[in-house]
Amino acid sequence: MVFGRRDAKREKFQRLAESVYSSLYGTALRLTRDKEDADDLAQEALVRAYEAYDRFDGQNFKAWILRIVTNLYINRYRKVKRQGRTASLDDEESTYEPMSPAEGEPDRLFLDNMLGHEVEEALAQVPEIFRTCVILSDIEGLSYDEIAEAVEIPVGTVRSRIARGRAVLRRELERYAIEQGYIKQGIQE
Amino acid sequence: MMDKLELMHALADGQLSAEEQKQAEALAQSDPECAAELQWAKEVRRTVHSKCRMEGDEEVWKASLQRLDAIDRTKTTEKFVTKYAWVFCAVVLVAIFSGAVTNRTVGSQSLSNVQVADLLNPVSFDGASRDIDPETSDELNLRRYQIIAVADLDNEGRMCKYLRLRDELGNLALLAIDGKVELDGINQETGYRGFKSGQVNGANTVTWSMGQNTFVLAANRPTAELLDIARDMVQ
Repeated sequence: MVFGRRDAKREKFQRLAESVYSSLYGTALRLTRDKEDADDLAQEALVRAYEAYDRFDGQNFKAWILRIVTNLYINRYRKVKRQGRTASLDDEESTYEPMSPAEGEPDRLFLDNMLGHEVEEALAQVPEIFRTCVILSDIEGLSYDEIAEAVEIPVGTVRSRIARGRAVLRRELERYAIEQGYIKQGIQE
Repeated sequence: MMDKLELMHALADGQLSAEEQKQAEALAQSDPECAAELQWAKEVRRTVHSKCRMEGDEEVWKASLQRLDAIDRTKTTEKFVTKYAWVFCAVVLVAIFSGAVTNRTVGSQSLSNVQVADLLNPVSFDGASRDIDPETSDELNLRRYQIIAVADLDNEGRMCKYLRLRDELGNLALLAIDGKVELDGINQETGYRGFKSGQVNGANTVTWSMGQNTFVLAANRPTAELLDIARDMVQ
């Protein structure tokens, strides 16, 4: 530095950011599903967070920075990139299909056989509005209130989206498990 | 009213109030569909949480830190500039003033009409005259003129030589200025390339450059006559 040492605020921010960086980057990648976009999004989120660090309430840094990255994604990337499966309002308001059909449900143990990248691929197939909530809840461990704040939706909607997202995810996981031979095809039927 | 299946997910996530949790647990015990949903919710959550592990990209982290450094530098500079803005202004003003003063003295490329008038004023060399040899008077042809006096002058750092000449019609003042300079008020085209005319202290004046010097010829005579004399001096 030209005019003095790096100040304490910067040091503290960097320490906190480093501790949650894998979560930040992972969320960016899972939201965008594109390495280049994720690189940009993660970097931009860090810069925005640093510029807004004075407004951080000092409570939960991870939730705060994930809120920034989610907001940034919603405002910037989602508008211009709507690839793959998306869910409409109709999807959200449609009748909820339970995760657990009454008959012939496969042994849940197949989930233990699945590899990380297989779960990631199944997750990527979940419609975006549901996926965002599932990521923030199941991977990053945010509370419903924190997710509601990050995505700017009511808590009730968060609860609904998580349930629906998991239902889609479970079906994708089963489909993948059948393809890979972890469970036998038609067991649900 | 919360959907009973959604309630199971909220229960699995521990996101219910104490009362809601009690109701949800009772529902899970009494309703097999809810019980199964609760188990699936827990399993999917556990699977995703345990298997989705991702490391941050190191290059992106480094690039982000560089951007933070750039922000810090900008902030520091802004802070410094804001704090010492008045010093910058003062320095700029001093620089402008110094430049102006310098331009008017040593490095000047122009002389004001008043300065030229002062140099041509015979009073300025009274008592300082000495005899000179016309043969050594630069490249000018001064043989037709009687040199009455000569004086070396210093005009704010610029060396000048003043010669008082005389011919059959009277006196002339010739000023040789070191360097090529623009003379304020003596800038009218004369029709002869390199010669310009004007007035200094009410006297007609002709100026021209020759070698590394600028010459000024002044007398109470018509400009055309002065031009003829000047051109004769140059030939």
